[in-house]
Amino acid sequence: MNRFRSLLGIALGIAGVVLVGCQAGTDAGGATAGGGAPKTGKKFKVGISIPAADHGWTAGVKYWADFASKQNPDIDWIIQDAKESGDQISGLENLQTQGVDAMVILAYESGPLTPIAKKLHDAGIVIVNVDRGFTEPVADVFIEGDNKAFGRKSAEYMAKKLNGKGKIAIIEGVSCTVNTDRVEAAKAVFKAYPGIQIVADDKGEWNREKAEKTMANMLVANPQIDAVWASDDDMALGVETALKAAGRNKNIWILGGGGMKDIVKRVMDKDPLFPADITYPPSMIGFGVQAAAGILHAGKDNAKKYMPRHVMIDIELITPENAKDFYFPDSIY
Amino acid sequence: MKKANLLTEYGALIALALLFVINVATRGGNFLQIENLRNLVSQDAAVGVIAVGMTLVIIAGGIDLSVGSMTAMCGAVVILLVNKLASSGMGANVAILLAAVGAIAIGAIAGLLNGFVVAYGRVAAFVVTLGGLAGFRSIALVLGKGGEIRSQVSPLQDFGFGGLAIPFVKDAAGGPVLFYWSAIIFIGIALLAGFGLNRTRFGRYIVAVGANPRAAEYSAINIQTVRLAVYTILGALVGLASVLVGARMNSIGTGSAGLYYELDAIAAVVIGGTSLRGGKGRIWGTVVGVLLLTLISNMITAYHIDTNWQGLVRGIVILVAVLIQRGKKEDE
Amino acid sequence: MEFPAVRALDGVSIAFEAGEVHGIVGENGAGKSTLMKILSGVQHATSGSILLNGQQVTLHGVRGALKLGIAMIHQELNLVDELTVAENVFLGREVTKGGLLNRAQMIEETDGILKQTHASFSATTKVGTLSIAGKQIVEIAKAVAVDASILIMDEPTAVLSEPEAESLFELIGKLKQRGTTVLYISHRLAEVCAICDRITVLRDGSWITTVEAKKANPVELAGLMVGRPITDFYPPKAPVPVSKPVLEVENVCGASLSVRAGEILGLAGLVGAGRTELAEAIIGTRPMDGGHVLVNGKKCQIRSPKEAKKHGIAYVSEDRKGLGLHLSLNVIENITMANLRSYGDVVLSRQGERSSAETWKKDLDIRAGDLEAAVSNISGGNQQKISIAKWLETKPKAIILDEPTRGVDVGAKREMYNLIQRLAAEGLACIVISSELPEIIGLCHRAVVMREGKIMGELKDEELSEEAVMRLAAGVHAA
Repeated sequence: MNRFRSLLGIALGIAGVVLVGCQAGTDAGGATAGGGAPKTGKKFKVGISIPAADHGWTAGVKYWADFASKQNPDIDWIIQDAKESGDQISGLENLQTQGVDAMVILAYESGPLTPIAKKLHDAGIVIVNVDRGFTEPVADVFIEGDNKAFGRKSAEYMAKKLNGKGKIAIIEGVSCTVNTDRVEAAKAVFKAYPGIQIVADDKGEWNREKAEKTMANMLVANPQIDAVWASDDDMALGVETALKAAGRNKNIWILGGGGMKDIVKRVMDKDPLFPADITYPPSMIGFGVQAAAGILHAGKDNAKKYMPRHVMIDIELITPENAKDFYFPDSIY
Repeated sequence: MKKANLLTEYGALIALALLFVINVATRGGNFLQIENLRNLVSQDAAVGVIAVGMTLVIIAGGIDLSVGSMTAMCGAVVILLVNKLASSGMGANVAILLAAVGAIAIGAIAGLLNGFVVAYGRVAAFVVTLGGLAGFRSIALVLGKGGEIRSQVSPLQDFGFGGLAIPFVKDAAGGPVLFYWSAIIFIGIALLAGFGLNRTRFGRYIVAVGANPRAAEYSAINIQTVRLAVYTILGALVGLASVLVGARMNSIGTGSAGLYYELDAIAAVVIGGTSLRGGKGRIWGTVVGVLLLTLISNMITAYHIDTNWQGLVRGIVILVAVLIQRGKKEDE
Repeated sequence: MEFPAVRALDGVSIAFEAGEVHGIVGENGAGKSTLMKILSGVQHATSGSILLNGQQVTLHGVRGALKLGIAMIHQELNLVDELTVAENVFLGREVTKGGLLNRAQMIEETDGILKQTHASFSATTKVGTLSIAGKQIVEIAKAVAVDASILIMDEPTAVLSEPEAESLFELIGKLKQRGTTVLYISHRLAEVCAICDRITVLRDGSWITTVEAKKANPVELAGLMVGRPITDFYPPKAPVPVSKPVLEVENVCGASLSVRAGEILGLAGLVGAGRTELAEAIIGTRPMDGGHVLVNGKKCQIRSPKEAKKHGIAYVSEDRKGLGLHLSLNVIENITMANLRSYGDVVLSRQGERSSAETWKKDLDIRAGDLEAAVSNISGGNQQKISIAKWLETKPKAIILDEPTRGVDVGAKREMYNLIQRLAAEGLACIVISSELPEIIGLCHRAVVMREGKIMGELKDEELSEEAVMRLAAGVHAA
């Protein structure tokens, strides 16, 4: 009985503090539907929610998010990363209570992040979606790389370089639309070349170690592989390690993706292992940041009149000839 | 030593209150926003529901490491079922309800399986549920073909972000602030479990079996039945939690859903003062543990601390909680 | 060598002499354990002094005491099962040669000591494989190895069989010849009178008297321990009403017996004779090995204590702390543990439970201050009463009490005998398993004696004597 009383006492105490605080708590900001006024205080507040940097590309995203936000000092930027979808959703909820006017979101997973994005959008917050798209059109602006072009252009290069004949291995990324678009487009191209045989197709999860393991298994199962469609530069490096360890890094080459500076350099230097690369710039987050800033300055209603809802960034093939245009030695990626 | 006992008995609650005060002092109105307080209770509601069930299993002398993977598996069932039922013409709400029942049933069966092998197979619970951790995740991945399963029934996310309007408060736009169903369910389950543990015959058996299983057997208690039941209850609660997760995301990432839930749940139980050796524990402690962990997350976001620190902070909190409660045991 | 003992919380002063076997007796709570804890270095006395050979000493923990030559052998032996005898003997003071363990030397020294004890095992035997008697010998060897001049032994024969106890007494005799002082704590008053030179009685924390063992007898000692003369240990036996047997055991684990309502049947034998095993088979925690149990003439299938309860058979375990009670739970919870269903199908009536516990407290005179306190803090005799109350709650027809007075002091023992008599008078069929011959003779109407898992014979009325029981139990004449 005594314990119950003391618990009740503490609970009532907390409730009391809460009720008192709540009177002071809810900051009524200006209405945001259409106006150009910040929700709280003088400056606009924008949250940037990205996945935690578990591989080079996502580390690049963090770098460019930082860089771009620094170019817009008139806005309060809060960069937040999350280790998985549940955390990201909670993080977005918390940002909402901090009174953000806009959010730039690179979703950890497309489906799981859609409901919260919808909710935020309905609450009047500007949503800029980058790379991994939501499953419903809840964003004000959706920016993605042309993944289909990614798959198509890389596969065409590979097919041409093999003269339409050869055995190739495919290493895929994490299951999501980004990966599906790329792989399906690439496979469609390979199908048109009957001389090209896909001897292995497995997941590397966009992770260097995982790709290395997967490649090692593929090497054991397949005595002859002419080229590896690695679809991502982090994975490509893992593939290279596996090839070296098995002593099979001659007469084979790798096509990655993403435009990592180390790989671009090797393309520039005409490394036989890396004859080419495909762009998929993590700096697209910067464009998202800029879009958010722009919309807030103009005001939602105005911006709606001329801002495109869906932006697809062109993907280009990097060859030794044009590699220097894509080489950014100061970048983290 | 009255002072020492107060700390060991209510340590977690005191820590929660302390952090609360610190937040109020440093973040003021922002922290006390009703939406923020509501979030504290609802964000980890799924883990909370699981942790409540885990408390019962741990008090009974067992443990279950498979709850995270089970969440993914049951979650896959929820989404697949809700899609199937809705597409066959059923009303959305009915489909959601039936899918929820299905997930809870699957969870209960999975729990029963765990309990059966632990009770009759004489294999350590740690090992059995470790197998479940791998096995259930595998089933989830098969169901989802390695990726996400998306719900086509939009009202499911309305359930995820829906709830009861909190009286007397309004949000910034003048609308109602909802106390999410997930939070209501979490608190409801906790109250039910607390009552069950302290006031029912079965609750007494759980404590007896955990405190001294052989003495319980000699006292004419069927210890195997108690063990089976407690794992099954946890499984059912995992099924319920998976509904909450599925609703919040309107989908399930079969590879990522429920990841590390078992560690979060066990951490909350331990912080709350329940002993891993079994035989004693309390549900309200687990609730405090869950709230404490959520509050720490909340603070890391609010103070813009690198999320990578979160693991270290949690680890320290768990260690401190265990050390404080150890003091009590030495007295005994 | 002599030293006046500690003027402890109790204000106790004793002088122990070199080469004497000094018995220490007293009820639980009399201060025996506190005194021993202080002497062995576990606790510090708050006032008073210890003098060794006339010199005042301070004991810094158990190690400090060992250094001064004081060693204690606890009831719960402090050995590491996974290590060998030699490793245990030298634990903490290993002999090294150039940084590495000098196993050969340690084994040699240990074997030397073991030879003196007539141990049947060698220094390289793994301790976990030894019997309790063997483990005790290892503990003694530990003390001899450090050349302990004072050896404190706490209830050493509690778990030994008669022949093993004899070996122990021989060993104590040898230690005596070497000049070692042995402090011998025991509840077995006859034993104490037999092997000690002098005996000290403690009561309620104070020293009562120290007498010459030659001049002492158990009844007198018991009286001093309790504070009033004890004329008889056992209440008079009530006649048994003639009736059909309540409990019949036919060929269970090869044994058969029967008990009637109102009868107290003793189940005697040496430690290890198989009596507990038989009881466990009756209540279903052991397989029955092809036999039947009949309650009131009806054959019963008993595969678990739950089924045993259903048929009205109760078993109060000898392992009070391990099997009989939930030490971490309180008095009320323990009392109602086997009968929870009558306090509610789903929700328990706390009120009902409490009032039941209060009733039993009065009825059995259970001395426990706060019913909501954990039973771990209650004395052995009262713990036993709680265990019995738990089973009486189930309204059994037959009750098996396994070593009900083990570890219970003299005053409480008498209460226990009264209680058992009362249960019989109220119509219960009682089986009392006991290793104490006087108890069997004094308490029971009839006795059945087991040896090596088989029932060797039945004794009643005039046949029932210590010699007769011993003859059947050990196959030899009692000393």
